[in-house]
Amino acid sequence: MPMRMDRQGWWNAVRKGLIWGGVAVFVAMVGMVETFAERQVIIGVVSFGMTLLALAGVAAGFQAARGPAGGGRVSALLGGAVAGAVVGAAVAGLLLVGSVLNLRTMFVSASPRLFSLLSAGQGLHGWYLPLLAGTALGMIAAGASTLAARLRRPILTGLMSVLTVGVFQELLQIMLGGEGVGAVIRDVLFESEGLLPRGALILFLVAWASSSLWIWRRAAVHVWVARRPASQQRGLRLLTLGIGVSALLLLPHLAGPFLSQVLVLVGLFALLGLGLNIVVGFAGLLDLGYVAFFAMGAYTVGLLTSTGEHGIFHFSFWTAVPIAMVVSLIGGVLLGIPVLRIRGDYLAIATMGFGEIIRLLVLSDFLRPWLGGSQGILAIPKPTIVGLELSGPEQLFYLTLVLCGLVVFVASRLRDSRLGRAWMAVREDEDVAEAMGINLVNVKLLAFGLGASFGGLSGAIFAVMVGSVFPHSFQLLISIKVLSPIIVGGMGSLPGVLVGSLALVGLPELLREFADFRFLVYGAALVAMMQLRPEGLWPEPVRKRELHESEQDAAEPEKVLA
Amino acid sequence: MAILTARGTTKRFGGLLAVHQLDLDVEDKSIHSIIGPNGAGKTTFFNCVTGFYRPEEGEILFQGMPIQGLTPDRVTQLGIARTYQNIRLFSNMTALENILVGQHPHLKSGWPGAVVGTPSTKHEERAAHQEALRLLLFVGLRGKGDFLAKNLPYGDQRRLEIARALASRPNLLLLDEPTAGMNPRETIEMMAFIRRLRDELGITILLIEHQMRVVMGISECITVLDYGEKIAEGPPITIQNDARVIEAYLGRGSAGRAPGTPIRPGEAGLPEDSSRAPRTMLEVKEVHTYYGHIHALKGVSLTVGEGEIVTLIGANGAGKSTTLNTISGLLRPRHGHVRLAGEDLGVYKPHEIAAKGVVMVPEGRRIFSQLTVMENLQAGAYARSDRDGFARDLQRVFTLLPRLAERRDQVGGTLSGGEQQMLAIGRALMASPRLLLLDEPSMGLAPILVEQIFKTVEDINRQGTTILLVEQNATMALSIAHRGYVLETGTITLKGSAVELREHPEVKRAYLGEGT
Amino acid sequence: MRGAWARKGTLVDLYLWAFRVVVILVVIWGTFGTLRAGTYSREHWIDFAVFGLSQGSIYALIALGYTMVYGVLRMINFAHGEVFMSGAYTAYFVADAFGRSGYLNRNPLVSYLAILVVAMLTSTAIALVVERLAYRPLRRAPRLVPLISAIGASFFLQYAFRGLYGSGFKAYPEPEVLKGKWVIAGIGILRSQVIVVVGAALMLLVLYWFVMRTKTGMAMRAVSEDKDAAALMGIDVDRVIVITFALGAAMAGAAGVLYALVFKQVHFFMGFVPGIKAFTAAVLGGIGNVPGAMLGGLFLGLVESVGPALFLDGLGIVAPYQLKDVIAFTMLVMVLIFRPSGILGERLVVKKA
Repeated sequence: MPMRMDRQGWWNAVRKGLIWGGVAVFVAMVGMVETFAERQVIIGVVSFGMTLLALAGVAAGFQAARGPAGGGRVSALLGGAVAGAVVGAAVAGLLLVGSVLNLRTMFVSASPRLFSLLSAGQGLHGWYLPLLAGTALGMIAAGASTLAARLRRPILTGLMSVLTVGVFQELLQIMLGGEGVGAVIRDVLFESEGLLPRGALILFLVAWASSSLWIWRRAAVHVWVARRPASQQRGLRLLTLGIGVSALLLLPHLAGPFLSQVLVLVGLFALLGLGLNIVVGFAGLLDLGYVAFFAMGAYTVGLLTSTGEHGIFHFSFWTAVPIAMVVSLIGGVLLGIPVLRIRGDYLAIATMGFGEIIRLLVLSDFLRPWLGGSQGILAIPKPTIVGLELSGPEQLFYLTLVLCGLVVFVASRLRDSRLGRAWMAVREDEDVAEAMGINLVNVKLLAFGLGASFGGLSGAIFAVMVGSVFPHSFQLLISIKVLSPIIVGGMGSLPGVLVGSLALVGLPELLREFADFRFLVYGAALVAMMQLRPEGLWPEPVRKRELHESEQDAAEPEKVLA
Repeated sequence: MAILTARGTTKRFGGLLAVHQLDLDVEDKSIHSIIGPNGAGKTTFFNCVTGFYRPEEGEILFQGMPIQGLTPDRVTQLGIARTYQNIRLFSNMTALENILVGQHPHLKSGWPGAVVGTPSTKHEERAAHQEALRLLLFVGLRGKGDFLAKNLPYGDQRRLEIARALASRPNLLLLDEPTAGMNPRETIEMMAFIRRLRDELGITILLIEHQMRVVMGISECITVLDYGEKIAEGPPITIQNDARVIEAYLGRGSAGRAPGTPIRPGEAGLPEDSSRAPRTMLEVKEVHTYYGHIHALKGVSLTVGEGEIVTLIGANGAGKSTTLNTISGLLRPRHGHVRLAGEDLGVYKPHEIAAKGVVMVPEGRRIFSQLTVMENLQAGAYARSDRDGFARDLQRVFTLLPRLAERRDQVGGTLSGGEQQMLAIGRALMASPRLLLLDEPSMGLAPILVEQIFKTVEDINRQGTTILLVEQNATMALSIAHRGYVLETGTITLKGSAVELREHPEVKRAYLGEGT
Repeated sequence: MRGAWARKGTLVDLYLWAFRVVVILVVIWGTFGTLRAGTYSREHWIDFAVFGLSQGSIYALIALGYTMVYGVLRMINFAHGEVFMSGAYTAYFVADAFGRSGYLNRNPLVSYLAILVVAMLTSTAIALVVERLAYRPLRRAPRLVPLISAIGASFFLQYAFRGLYGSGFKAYPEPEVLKGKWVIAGIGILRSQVIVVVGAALMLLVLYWFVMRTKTGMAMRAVSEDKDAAALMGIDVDRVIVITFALGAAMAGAAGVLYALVFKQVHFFMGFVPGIKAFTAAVLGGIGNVPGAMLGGLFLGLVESVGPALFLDGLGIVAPYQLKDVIAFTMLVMVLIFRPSGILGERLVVKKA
């Protein structure tokens, strides 16, 4: 087995090391390491902050091993070691510089605590530690990359499980509850602040074993399932669906009020995402001013139901919501008409302009008598059903869940209809779509209007959830927060939007420290997704038609134009 | 009875007259072709019929009703459908979905019905799916309904586009170059298919085509356009032997001379029986170039010797410009190579190739209209650093093309067509090329100017520059070239000295189809 | 190019017509009201106008970056506002150091030159990195993709700066020599504003000279018009694109310093609104048109500054200054809807279908 690595390989390893070293330094300087150091993945062993740095080393090693074509295992290991060492050197360099110069005057995050973290408490004397760690990690990662996928996958699964459980330990501890089997598991795995080392080991082994087992038997399982008669297959599918739905329904009970609140938020953004998905994903109209419809829905409900000074009537929530949706729909049409003939980049900017105009008007003192200015509208009562007030996050969660389900249903029906196809044609090629007999004005306005109405619905719920509406909640940033899940999940894909919302909206809420870095990650995610996977993480699977079978018995050609 | 009638249709783009006073009748249930050289206004006319453009003058009647100025969706609803020169399918939708979109005009269900799931909506959707499947079968795409349109092979994409057009149940179908990029076998299949459309479905077909065997083979009536005007009309036999048509395609010689006679006896340049063969400067070997799926060049090989004028002629869509674009680096060949004096050019970017002395004057001139004449010339010399050489070449260009000297501070966009062509050539000369690539220098120019341009080209050659000339105007090209190649649908079908080619009947056939 | 939009078309046209009428009425009615009430004196108007000019000069400098990049790449560099911010922000540290040590007051000219250089270098570096990482790989992708990448880059930069340097406002030190007013033609004008207008004018002239008179500038114009033809002439298109980015960024960096002179503070979010306004200016002047961007910037600055007082006040709108951004955004929306080729007309060659 050749052991040498040619110059190309060395240079590649160094370059990867420099890139990821830069990333590591950046992550440290931006404050992520320190902030996330609070969160222990494995108590006393490693924190999430350190994990991030470690990931940089791992990534460098992984990529460096991929680089040189021929070369074999040893050269891959060497490459990984070199790359990892460079990453470690970068961090060590930061440590050195930080100890000599006072970086704090410029860089907010260059605190003593950070440097102590970087050197594992040793200060300047510990400069070699990052270097060693980097080299080791790089080598391990490179080694792992040379393993067959069969071997590598379970290890990865094991590590990911430990990481996930460690990061979300708070939540999981709550879910495992106070008594019974759950409590036993909890005591074995966790301590009050985090995952115990023994817990981590157990978890790793379990995950590794299950993953290996799955890989080993996966093919057999698939064959088994395929052999079952169609009715049983459908039954199995329904069963899995049923399990998923019941889990969802039981979630608030298991997880407590905090999680429920987060889930409501995720649900609201999912609603918004589904609405914007109609405009952006189905029809291809990049609307950056979408937050305006969210605002319209919220303010309508606020104005119609509030018991405070700005409330006009005192409608119930259930009366106000349809009105809010209609108001948003009209708003969508009114904002859509002027931009009908604008395309692409210009459309994005124009809609953003509209969004900002609305926000500024709502915020202004000029409209304060009606809309409350920067104070907003207060004292919005919670909705009641049959006398029961839906006040807690759990109850609101169910409401949101039901509405989400409804919207998903409507959206999927629309997608598979004549209108849905017309939207997609417009997205693909507007001129040809028109030549297919599609009336662009109608189709685009329907997209704007229907999308806006879902946004308004979400706004309505938001208003009652918070109990008040302020203009501050309706900035452009919200539009980006809604757009990112669509882009990351897959434009036009319904499951993609839902998963995207869960990941991009849910995660930051669960990991509170994340909030400061939220848009940093969104931005990076958008740039990365466009290059790596522009169709999204979960693009709409090409739907197999039930009519596939009936292709066999399609009529003879003579009967085409019956 | 004419299903489509155009009277005095005129379409202008700024100063350019694309279609001029066109009168046209298409008989119901006939197969009617529109042909003509590049830029004759054929696609523009199609666009006027389908509502993409609004003609400035004249009217277009469909089944007796005026349709000029209607929006495209309205035109389709009335019963006209079309396909496109460069396939414009909905790439990220499946084949079946493409056809379903095509059915849009005659489906009635609204979106509320779709959301609620009313029986009538479901019924209509099911029927629509059935019809779409039948159309897939009809065009020969059985089983491919779930393929994404962009993943289908080229021939299938063309069929899908036709299926999509048929989905709207048209009475008139406009096909824009349906056989572009197809090999002979596929072409014959397409011809049979087009006949079936008319015979079995009763649809009138209006066709734009460049492949003469197709046009002559299936058309009942042919209209020939040149410079936006109709110059001939009639059945294939008449058209093939019409002198004006022949001239429009093969080109005129100098004023007053019939095509086919040499400019001067005893040849400019090298004598044909010269034993002293020139050194090979450019070698193109077995080059295959693709535009996406389209296999545009199928193994093209040619050589250009030092000091020669070599011409590459052929009908529209044959791949002439593609060949030059491949040599100049704007396109990369998938197989084969291009060598300049032995050096492979494939690794270089266009600006590097230009710096090596291979300079192209692109089709349509493409001068920098916002820059002055002087600045254009300076742009040509961009890659050079020798001040003296620059001044010398500038003088040379001004001597060769005195009009440019007069207008040196004028902005490029204000020059006339002929002057712009001169400027484009002058600009290329400023790069001090070893090999000059000329792409259709005569296009869009009046005959007198064409003569001037060609004389200039000869002068340039005499001063030592090697020239590879791509031209549709075969007569003019062959009158100044030493050697020539004939390109037909991506392959070289003929080569030889210019004298041989001039008289060769195959050349005429390559342009105008069988039976001439 | 299309035929008229048939039935629904007339409703659309009606709406658009009404839109225009409303805006014009607002302007006229308001102006009338203000002038009649006579709330503002001549000094007031002059102050507004000068402020508007200085703001407009800043917009003009930033707009150059948008218009030049659109010219060569046909895309909106959404992250350009952050390029502007990064220059101003980074130069703050230099300014602060100078201010603290007193050097700023002893040698204001040299100090400001240093600050300018740092700002321009930083902006250029950031712009080039963004071009390389977020735009170049997507050269051939459909339009939406680079736009989203640009939006992502923009947010990333904003929050990166926030993470690195904190979320607070950083105050630029003010040298003694720039405090107070100069009297020009009998009018008292803030010294800082004069410097801004003069400085911007100088940079604009330099850029104009560069684009129109140098070989590289000519290459830029050639690439803007026809990339392929330029390549055929031996012009390295990628290099020209990089130079274009660099120039636009340098202008934006300079604008950042000028901004700091007028507004005296920087903060991580400061690039967003001026960025949009500069883009408006670029479109107003005709995107791709360098002199147009300059004029567009000045025009926008003036209208934005004079507008609230001139017509909003007259309508009885309380605290009209809150709505000054509304005026800018309204102009943006109107120019995109009604005249996307700009008031001076696009200088780009549009390829026919």
